[in-house]
Amino acid sequence: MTITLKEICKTYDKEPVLDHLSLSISKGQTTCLMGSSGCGKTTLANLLLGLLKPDKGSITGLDTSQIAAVFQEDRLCENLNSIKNIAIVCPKSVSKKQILTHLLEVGLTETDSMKPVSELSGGMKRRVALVRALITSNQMIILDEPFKGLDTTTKGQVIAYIKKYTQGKTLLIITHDKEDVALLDAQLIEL
Amino acid sequence: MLHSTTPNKKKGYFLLSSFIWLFVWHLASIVIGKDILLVSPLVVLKTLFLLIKEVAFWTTISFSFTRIVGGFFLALLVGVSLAVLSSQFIFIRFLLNPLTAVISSTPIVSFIILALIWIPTRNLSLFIAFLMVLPIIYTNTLQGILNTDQKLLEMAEVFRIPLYRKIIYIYLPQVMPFFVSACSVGLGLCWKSGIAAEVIGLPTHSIGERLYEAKIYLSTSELFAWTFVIILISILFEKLFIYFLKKISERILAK
Repeated sequence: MTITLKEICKTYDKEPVLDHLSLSISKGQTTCLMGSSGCGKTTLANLLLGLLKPDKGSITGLDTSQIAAVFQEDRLCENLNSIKNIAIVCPKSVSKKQILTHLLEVGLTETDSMKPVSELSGGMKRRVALVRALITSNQMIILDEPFKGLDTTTKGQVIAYIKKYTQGKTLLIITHDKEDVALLDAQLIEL
Repeated sequence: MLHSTTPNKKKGYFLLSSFIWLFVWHLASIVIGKDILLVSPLVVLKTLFLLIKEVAFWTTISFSFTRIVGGFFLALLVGVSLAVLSSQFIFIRFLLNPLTAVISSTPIVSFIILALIWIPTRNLSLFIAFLMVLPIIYTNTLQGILNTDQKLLEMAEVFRIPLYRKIIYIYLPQVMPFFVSACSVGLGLCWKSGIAAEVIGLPTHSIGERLYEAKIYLSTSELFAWTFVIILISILFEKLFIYFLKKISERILAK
């Protein structure tokens, strides 16, 4: 069972970003996507998320109604607190208490969780964005540089959290750090 | 160089500057020496107290208030609805662009005279207030919607956030500053244009009619007193409206 990208082409302002790219992502596995800056990693993520359409080629085996993501930017509602930011993507059955438990697991405090996210540090915002992506039951999760702004200790905590909540799910992580592949027991795809 | 000031200091400055201008006004009226040209603020205050005692004063205010504020609320309803439609359908935006440009640049009196032919004078101020406020509410709300963070909208799309949550948590906080400033400008304008319509259309029991009478009978003190009443109602209503608008939006966001 794979998600297959076949002969994908994507051009921005006549500049080809993805040129006849073909690859497969195993479902239910963790895959790390690596490549130099500007090679089209984020474009590929946006294609998978359905935010972009390929100029040519096809993507098969993908259910866009089952995807969650951490974007390259945090994309949080700055005026809302962390709990509210997460609650807006959750069904009503997910309680505030459950959200708070998740936030505590990634190292945020209860006080942090009640502050508007505009008052949080970059690393804290990143973790809120991560919890938002992982808390729901989506079967595919795309994480675009999820460890940006995290120190080594927090990164370890976040990796443990990712592993705990993505078992059996398809996880695609865009990263620059080769070490992450081993830490996440992931397959590696280099662009 | 501007220095930060405390709210109490600001209030103090406001009161002091108000007194200075009132004093200048009083002095000018003494120097001119003719009430018909420039009446003293004390005489205006006295006239105002006399007016307040009349039942007609309150019926006049309620007549103008209901129509002008009615026109404002109608403009809110139509302006916001059109802005939402325009944000979704670019053709509607293009269709409405010339209309809003014409309304915004046409002198108010042209509309008032034209509207006198179309509608009864009783509702003239309602129509004119509506017409003047509509483009302000429409353009500002549309601007707010179009300026909504596209990245947040993409996030909402990916996470399949329901429309009502998108409106409350993504659109509302981003549109609100545009909407509040439009309401603030619109409220000032609806009173100016509404009263102008009443002065020309002369509906009975309206503030405009009382202003016109003050002009006919050369009663400068009444003219000033009614002008003061208009300013007061306009400012009070604006403050109250903006206060409640902000409170409501805060309450919605806190849900």
